[in-house]
Amino acid sequence: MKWLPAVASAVLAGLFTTTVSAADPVEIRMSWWGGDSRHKVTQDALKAFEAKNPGIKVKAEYTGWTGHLERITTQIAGGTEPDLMQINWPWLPLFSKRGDGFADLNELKDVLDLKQFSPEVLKTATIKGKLNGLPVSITGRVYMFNPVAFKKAGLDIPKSWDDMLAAAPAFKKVGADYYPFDTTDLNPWYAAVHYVTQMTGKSFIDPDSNEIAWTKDEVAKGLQFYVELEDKGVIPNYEKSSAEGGTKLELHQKKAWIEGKLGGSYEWDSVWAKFRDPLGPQQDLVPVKTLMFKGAKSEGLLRKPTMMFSVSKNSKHKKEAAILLNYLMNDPEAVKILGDSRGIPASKVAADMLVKEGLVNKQVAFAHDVIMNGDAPQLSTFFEHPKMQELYRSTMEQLSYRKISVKDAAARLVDEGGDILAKATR
Amino acid sequence: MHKTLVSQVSPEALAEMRRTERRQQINAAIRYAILIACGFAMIYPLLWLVGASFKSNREIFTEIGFLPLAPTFEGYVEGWKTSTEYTFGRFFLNTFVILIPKVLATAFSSVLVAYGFARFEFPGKKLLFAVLIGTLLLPNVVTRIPQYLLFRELGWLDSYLPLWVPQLFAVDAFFVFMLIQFLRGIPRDMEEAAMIDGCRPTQVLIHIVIPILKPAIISVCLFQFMWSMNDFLGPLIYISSVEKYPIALALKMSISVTESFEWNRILSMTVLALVPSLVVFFLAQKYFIEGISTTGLKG
Repeated sequence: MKWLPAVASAVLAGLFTTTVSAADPVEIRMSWWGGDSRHKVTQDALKAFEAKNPGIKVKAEYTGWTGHLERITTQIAGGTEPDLMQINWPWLPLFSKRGDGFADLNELKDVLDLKQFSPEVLKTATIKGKLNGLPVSITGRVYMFNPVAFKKAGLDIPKSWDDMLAAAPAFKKVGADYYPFDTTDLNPWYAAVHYVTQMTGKSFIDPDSNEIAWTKDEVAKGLQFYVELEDKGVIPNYEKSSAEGGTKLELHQKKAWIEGKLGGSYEWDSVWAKFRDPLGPQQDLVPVKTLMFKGAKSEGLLRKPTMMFSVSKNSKHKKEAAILLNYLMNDPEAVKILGDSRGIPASKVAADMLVKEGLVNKQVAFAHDVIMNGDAPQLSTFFEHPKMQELYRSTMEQLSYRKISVKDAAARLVDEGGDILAKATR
Repeated sequence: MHKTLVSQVSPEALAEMRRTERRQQINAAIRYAILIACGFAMIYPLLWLVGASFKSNREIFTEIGFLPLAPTFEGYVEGWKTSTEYTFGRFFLNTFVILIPKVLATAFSSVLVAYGFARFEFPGKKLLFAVLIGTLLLPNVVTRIPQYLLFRELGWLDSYLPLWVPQLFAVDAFFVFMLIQFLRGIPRDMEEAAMIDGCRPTQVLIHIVIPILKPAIISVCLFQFMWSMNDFLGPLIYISSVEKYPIALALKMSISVTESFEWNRILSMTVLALVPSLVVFFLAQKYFIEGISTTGLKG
């Protein structure tokens, strides 16, 4: 009867395999955009997830940034979007005007630990009471300076806007194309916005009513401040930036930046590494505490979620998608693998762990602290609406070329901005 | 013989001849200098691309010259590996898997439709031709979502079928139009002779029309090859699995908004991606030029 155990185990093995195939693993699709490093770590995290959850298989669909919006738009229009998607925060009103564009994550609470996210963070992704996505990370504008550039002018990095204004003549002495501050693309507008936000304590667009919250006079003050920066030589005007290779050319591609001719900028903290890398080992990029204007009412920070993960409302496996989302956001194993590839996580447990393990660059961690601990009025999702951005861009350009007066520019921003918002929110 | 001729010419005339000759040489030198300068300016971006693919990432934005100061193969080696689980070779292979059936289908369907329009009379021909030209003017954006929905219903998403099958129906009106113009320029004598000898229309097409059309067909294939090679939106929308991506998608995979990326890797792979188009173009150059330049000739 030697063969009996062999047969028994064969039968058992047969039974076992059939039971496994009966519970076929659920396949869910997940999409994201990114660069090389994000692709690599996310794939690694998905492998770790599959090892931990044998019942779920994840199909990764990732691309670069270009075209990702077109792709997601088409997929959503056709109802074939992936179960779990990385969604840019400004896209939220495009896909979910009434809050029903994505699955409501509040309904998936039992597998998704929402307690790791502060109520303010969740509010930024909530439309009409429905949680449309989980913000992955929070970003904000921070002043960053290149100390080597300031040293050339015999100065320390500025601690206030007065320091910055005073630095302009010293930079001019080093060379005509040296400026203590740079303004790429929309940055002049953001600087003006920061000024007015500090003065009024309000955000440009009211986040609840989605109407312009500033008066024309308030906008004009911000623009006047911008004009003053140009006149005093603190920043290059559009004409000079265009000659340098276009006003949209980002810092890391600018020769003047790499060579240390520009003192600093006002940038999202998440892009620190991108602008720091080309400076090489001889130079540095130091984020500082928010510069204050004279007579400021509040710090007036610009703070927003960078991107979110949303679950498709058409998904057949919402629960599995939420399990994966929870793993990526809150599980120590995934947090360790993902690091800060999507910015410093908004999830408390993840952020604490990254800092404790020293997985975050100290300067990035400092910049992030400045943003998280400062006061910032809530930002409307429409603040970065593509049409609004176009309006900011064209108005600032005309103002810089002095084609329109400060007063007209302010009127245009308020009136046309109001029209755009009225149409977009209808 | 030559010497005696020269000796018969007066010294003044000889000097004048030399002057003329020199003037022509100077003239030619100036002309060539201008042409070379313009040609160089036109080809410079391409030279820069090749040069920059051997540079380090930092050097790309700080040095304007195209010769790398410290040449490195790092861009090629790392770029080939890619950040996906596949090497760049996979994306090359995918590109050809998309391209070859697509090009063949285009050539087949366009010739058939063009032959019909150019040689046969049938009711509603004018209207149908107008519709054909109308689709030429129709922006692609308009049909994107309906087409996507159609292919979704057929269950063809995330396969190459949405890229191949439409080509079987001569959807590229431009190619049909090009072939019709070519056919209009060719006298019908030979086809009529073949008909009298008892050829059926399909035989006329295969034995007479296609051989005559050869240069134009090659142009169609070349155009389709190059356009499909560069097509980004089609694969972007229909193909969701990374393992099926063609080069056009793979090249943009590393470009992100918040991360700094290694330009030299992207440039290196761009150089490699240019190679097939260039090779095919130069192999078929003779026919290509002939194909374009003879369309629209009056017979």
